[in-house]
Amino acid sequence: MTLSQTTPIAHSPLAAGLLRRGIAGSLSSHSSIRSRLQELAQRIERENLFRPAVAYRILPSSMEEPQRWRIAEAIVEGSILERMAGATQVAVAFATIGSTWGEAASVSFRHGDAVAGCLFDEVGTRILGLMARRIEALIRIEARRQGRCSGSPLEPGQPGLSLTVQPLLGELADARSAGIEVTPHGVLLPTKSFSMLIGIGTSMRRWPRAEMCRECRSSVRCQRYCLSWDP
Amino acid sequence: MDDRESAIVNAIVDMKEQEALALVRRSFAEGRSAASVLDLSRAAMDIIGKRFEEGEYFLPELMLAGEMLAQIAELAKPLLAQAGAAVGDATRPKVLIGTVRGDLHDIGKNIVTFMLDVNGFNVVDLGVDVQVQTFVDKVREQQPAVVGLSGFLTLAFDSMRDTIAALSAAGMRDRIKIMIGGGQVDEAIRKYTGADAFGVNAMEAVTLCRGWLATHS
Repeated sequence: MTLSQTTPIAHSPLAAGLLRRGIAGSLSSHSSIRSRLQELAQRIERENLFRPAVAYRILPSSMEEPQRWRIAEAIVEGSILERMAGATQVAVAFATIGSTWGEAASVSFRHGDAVAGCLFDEVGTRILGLMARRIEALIRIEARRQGRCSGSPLEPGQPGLSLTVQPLLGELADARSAGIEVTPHGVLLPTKSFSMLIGIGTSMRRWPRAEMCRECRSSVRCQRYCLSWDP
Repeated sequence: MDDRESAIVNAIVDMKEQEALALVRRSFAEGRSAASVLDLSRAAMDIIGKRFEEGEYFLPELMLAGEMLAQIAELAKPLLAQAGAAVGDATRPKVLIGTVRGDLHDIGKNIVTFMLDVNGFNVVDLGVDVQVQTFVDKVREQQPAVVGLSGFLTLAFDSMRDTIAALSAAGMRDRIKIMIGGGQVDEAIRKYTGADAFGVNAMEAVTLCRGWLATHS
């Protein structure tokens, strides 16, 4: 699939596939939960709750210092940016599963349907992870078309890249065009959204996701309580 | 535990919602006391909590168990009232909860709210991005026994600390217990914020509240 710079991918075969995999990947094997998942899937389709969208830009970049990078006209700082060494371009991407999903989760809890609320959250998180993989792959393909390669993604909020860079990145990627708002504190709305930076150059470093997880203070709890969006 | 009691506990633990409710209805019809059935439900919940801790059950199972408990409590309510037991929010210990200033995540807070509610607490949920002064005003107004501060992002830590400092400045700190929870909360963060305890999941929140209120009473 070709990813244009602003892609409302709702109602596409990609969206259908993401939803199917998000639901199928549930860790709960109890038949009672599986049947609730099926109900959830029907409700999502009936009420059109899944409205994913992506916005990204590939921008020129240069390293001023290993932890201080110029991306287009902006300066971004963070110790983790050292991993982008060699990048002459950076892809800045924002993606969301849409606001109606999170609203449905909150309403479910308010109405006492905690199972649905929980499943919305679990499935939504899983879908975000799947979207992240897909966007990473598409940027890698785009880099190859240019005869270059791409690094692994860096995400605001990871150790070494503060959320405070998120408003700036949101402007660079025009996150608003995907329906994503960035608060002054760097929180994304809808909350089921994410952003990433991917360096592009002639020789880029890649690393397994687990390597970043090891440095995160939430990693043990993330795995234990399945907060990780890594499916 | 007799066969009927075991059947009720097992049906709840095994997530057999309809079977559990049918057994409870039958038990009430046969004259079993509401209090004893509620005790069985709580025993089942303890088993489910252990399975959750051991990684056999996950949050959806915990929520389904909570829903069953809530439905059983509804069935028990008229019988408890008949037996002269006090029912209703006024009799339940109050917990005030909210996601702190700057943070908009609500899923953890909602799960904790739900679990506290089905476990007998009267929860006042202030929502998300709750300003420091709002917490102070609401604690003064609602007079909870416990305050829960939720935050998923690291920016929440300062908000938690500011909220707790404001409650101290307002002279209310000694009257309440404060628990914090969320993505990266741990003992270091607890110390930093000045909270009394932290919880890593909804079951811990329930345990904390029960423990504090048992000591209090």
